[in-house]
Amino acid sequence: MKFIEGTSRRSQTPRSCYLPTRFSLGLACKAGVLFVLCVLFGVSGLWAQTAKPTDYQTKAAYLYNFGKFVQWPPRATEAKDDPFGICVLGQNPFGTALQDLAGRTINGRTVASREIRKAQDAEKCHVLFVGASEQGRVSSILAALKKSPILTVSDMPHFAAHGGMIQFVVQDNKVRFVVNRGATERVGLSLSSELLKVALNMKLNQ
Amino acid sequence: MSGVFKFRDYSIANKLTAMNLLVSAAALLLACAAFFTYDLYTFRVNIVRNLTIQSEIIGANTVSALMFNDPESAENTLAALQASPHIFYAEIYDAQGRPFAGYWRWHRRQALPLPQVAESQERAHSFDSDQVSVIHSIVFQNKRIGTVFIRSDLKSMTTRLKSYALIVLGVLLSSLLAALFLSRKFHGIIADPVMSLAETARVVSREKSYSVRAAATGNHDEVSTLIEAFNEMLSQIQQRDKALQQAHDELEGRVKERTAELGIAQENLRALSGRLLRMRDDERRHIARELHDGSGQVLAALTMNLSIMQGEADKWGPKASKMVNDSLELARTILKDLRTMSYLLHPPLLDEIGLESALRWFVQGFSERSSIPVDLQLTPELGRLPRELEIAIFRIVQESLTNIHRHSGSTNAAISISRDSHEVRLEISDKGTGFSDSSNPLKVGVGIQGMQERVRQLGGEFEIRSDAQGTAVIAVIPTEKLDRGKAAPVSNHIF
Repeated sequence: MKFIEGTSRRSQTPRSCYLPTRFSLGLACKAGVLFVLCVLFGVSGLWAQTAKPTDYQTKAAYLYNFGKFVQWPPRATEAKDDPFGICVLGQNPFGTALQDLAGRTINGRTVASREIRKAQDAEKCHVLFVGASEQGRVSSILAALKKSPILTVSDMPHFAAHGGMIQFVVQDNKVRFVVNRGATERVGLSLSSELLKVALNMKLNQ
Repeated sequence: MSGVFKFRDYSIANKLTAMNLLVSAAALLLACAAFFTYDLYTFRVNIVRNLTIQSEIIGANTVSALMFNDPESAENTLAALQASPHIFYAEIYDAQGRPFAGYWRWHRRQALPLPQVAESQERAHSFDSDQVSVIHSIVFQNKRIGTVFIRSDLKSMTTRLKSYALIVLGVLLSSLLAALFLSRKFHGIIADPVMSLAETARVVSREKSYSVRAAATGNHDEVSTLIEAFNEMLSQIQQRDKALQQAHDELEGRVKERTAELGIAQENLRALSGRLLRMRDDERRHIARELHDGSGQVLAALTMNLSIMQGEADKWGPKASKMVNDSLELARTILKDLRTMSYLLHPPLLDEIGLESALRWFVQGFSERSSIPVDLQLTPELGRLPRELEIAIFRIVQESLTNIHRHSGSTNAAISISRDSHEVRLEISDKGTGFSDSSNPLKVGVGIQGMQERVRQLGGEFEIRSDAQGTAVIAVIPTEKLDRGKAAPVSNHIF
């Protein structure tokens, strides 16, 4: 099959990650190569199941990806080139996965990840992951952020039911998420329909 | 070209029709081929464009599915391709080129491997014999996050090709029919004048009639020039023909005139010679009578006187007696000669007891005088003939016997006269030396010419056959013509 006529574009995808399927490597060898490559170039959220990244690696990638499908209202205190903050409240379960996002950009802003101790420190964050350690204080945390345009994400159960915006769910060994649209709309965050399309449609009280 | 029907033998009308059809068919086929090629090209371009658009839409709608690893969502998006009946396979590959979500129209099968495309190509397409494939990168925020691969069958194109072929066939047929119809209707404009001209030329050459003219067309093209020139040529031929005919007629008239003049002259000449002959006969008869009745009577009286004187002469002495005797002898000789001369000039027997007796008397006298025996054969039923005819026969016999005696050196002669219901045949022959060139009037004597003229005057035929064995004079004279016509005036002459 010979392909003709195409338009050129500067591809940012690393050449070595575009593996030709005819490339006759053993399955294990292929997986290994992919693993090494993806560790080297960072998680992109495009993991194949065979690569078996950990759930938190996937979740870290998703935190970054959410930034691409959510529109934040303009903040008075914010400059145009301020970093895009991805914060973790409580115990950080991601290991180095969040640091690996450094250098990437979202809407022209550089991604910056940091850990915070209390909800009041979250004013420069765009995405706030609430760690499982904060399960007991989730109501007060969410109440403190009630008027802040910060995308709150967690993997603790009933997070969305408590008023959290996005809750990770593992389903069929895959990381999925549910969205609490009422919470996002209240603070003026607009979620892309693309994001809603892939969100799980289930009761928020899980 | 071979075969019974050669194109060049077709009539002009058929040639025109065939040419029109050929030209129409060629033009139509060319036009159809051009349109067909163009349409096929644009159709392919359109197919590719449509597939590209669809792949772009699919790509845009599967960004989040790729980003959040949700093949189901991507498959839902792909399922919308059910609306496109010709797309039978679509696949989304992730950034690494691994199959992510697929779509099969009929039976779900294993994903096809992603075709290898140059890194820089955002989209590409390829045509196989019955399918077309389009490959399109899914780009999100300047980053290639996957690839859409769509494969569509070309049944629509095949269908289109078939319907095109049908349309072309239909258009071709109807156009050819229309061309045939129009050509039949209008070829007359060119062919009819030519055919009419050809027909006129055929009529002219067949009937040699130069008075016909080819009908003018009223146009001003080469054919009308041809027709005009043809008509002009005919006119010229006709004029020349007419002049020629005039000259011919004039000449013929002149010839007729001359012939008539000549005829009259000949007639006059014949009448003249006839009159001359009659005058001679009359003259001879007159002289014979004068000799017989005038001098003859005087001589007879003289002889009677001398014989009376003879009885008295003894008294006058012997000398006187001898003189009287001699004189009586002389007178008797003169009388005899005179009578012979008179009879030869015109035998009195001819008028009184007829040709037969006259001939016998003459032949006997001839034989006595010339010592040439003559065999005279007369048909028993000869009887009396018109006077002119009897004179003619007698004169011919007289002339011929004289010629035999004078020139032939023959020792005998034969005469035969026969008669049937309408003609008399006379033949006088000898065994003499003959003479050559009897037909040349300059070489024959006046006697022969006279015989000829007598026979001609009576409407008969005269012939002389002569060779070394002898000569024969033959005359055949009709009897009826004379009975009715010429015998009457001649009989007025008194002998």
